[in-house]
Amino acid sequence: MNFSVKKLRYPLFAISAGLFVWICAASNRLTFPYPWNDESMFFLPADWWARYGNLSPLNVNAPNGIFWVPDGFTVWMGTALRLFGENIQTARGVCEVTVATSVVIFAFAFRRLTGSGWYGLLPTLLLLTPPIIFASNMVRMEAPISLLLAGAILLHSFNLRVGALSFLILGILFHPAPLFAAMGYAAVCASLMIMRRRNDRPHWSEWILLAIVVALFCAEFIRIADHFELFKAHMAVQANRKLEVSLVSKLKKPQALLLLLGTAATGVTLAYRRRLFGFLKSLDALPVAVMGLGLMLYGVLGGEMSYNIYSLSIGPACVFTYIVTSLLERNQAAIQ
Amino acid sequence: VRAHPPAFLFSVLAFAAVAYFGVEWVFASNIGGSAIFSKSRARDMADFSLLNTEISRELRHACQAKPSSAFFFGDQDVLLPYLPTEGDTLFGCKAVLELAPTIIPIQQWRSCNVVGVWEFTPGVAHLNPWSFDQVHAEKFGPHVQIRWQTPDGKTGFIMYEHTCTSAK
Repeated sequence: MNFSVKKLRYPLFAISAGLFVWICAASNRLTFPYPWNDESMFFLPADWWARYGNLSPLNVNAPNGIFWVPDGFTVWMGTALRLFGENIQTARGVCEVTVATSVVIFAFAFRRLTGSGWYGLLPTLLLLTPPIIFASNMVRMEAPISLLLAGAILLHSFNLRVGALSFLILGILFHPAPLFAAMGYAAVCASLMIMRRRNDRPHWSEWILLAIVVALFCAEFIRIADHFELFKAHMAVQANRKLEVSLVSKLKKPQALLLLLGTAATGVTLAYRRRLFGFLKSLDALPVAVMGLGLMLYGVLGGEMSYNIYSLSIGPACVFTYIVTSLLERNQAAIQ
Repeated sequence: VRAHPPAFLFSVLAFAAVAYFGVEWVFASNIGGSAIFSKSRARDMADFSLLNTEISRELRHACQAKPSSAFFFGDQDVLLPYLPTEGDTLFGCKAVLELAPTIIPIQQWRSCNVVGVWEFTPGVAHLNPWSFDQVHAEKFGPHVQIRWQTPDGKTGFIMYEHTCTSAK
């Protein structure tokens, strides 16, 4: 009896963490954040997809489609609306449940990476914070992206790196936010494979996953090529909007300071691991930190409040997991 | 390499995690003008619901008066997803949201059947359409206005009808 309770302790914590996020989000519905125009911008095309099954939403005056953001969210949310009801309340509920689920998955992934329930609990604590609740309450792509990031970290914890990379690349079809994370993760994993000269063959299912993601990317590129002039026009508006805020003012925000601290902490930890374990072994846990730093970098450069989930919660949690994992390994090495 | 006692290591890491958790709940609990567990959230929700009711009533009335009406919502609109739309139809009339990349041509704005709607809520309070009256007036041409706001002035809307529409 005692044994089974002990075994259930962490799953109970993980589920409670998800419930905590969901309850906080539901208690602050429509007030944290207030309804804002981004929701209209993203919900209405999804609603159009749910009703008519096409990407030409007349309700936002876009008969030839929208190209300022990839179509991942429209299709994903449109499908959810089709299944559960075509209204904004359903969309909000789907986002809340998605973020809460991602927190549960993160918690399990952190336990696997740190190898201990108590230590897995610590980075999860960084996710039980207002930016996560803020993201849960937005009808935006941060919800599915957080789920994909959680999935990527979980797959990484099982050493399924191609699968993890596929999830990160898939996230880019929702929003460019995981771009730096995917690039960094791919670079570190590829370097590890090349330097080790080991035949770390990915599982066949990982190749299938990657092939599906590549096919989806091709479909998106073909669509863009078909409407290239419109794509350029929409991206010009988007670029102008992003450039309205100067880089200097973005770098003066606490998010930038946190990125700097995270980078320094990762650097120090890496140097320390290198001294203890040698160069190759020191890179072992690095992909998770690089993923976190990539997310934080995008959050800083993007400078929008909706990116706080990356720069203040998920990014720091990944870096913290790297530090915890490294210290535990060091301790383990010392004991042996 | 000297091993740390697990309890010590855990205490240090736990302190860091709890400190970060606390700092976030203090400093990141107010994002973009909205605060988590804000004391005014019941009132804000009631105001938003009232805004929905008032706009719905005006738009339904406009559509009943002239079934060929087209409702154009401004770029900063937040309410359209909360109205009972079916695709681009609202109460039987056409409803379209103008976005920065999908600008509706000025000639269309000036069509006689168009009703323009701008709202403001605490989330986009800095975009109070009343401060943009001149811009809207130029875009819209001769018009009549319907204005409504909550007693505290935090939530409201402005509707423009062309004089040709309202004369009928």
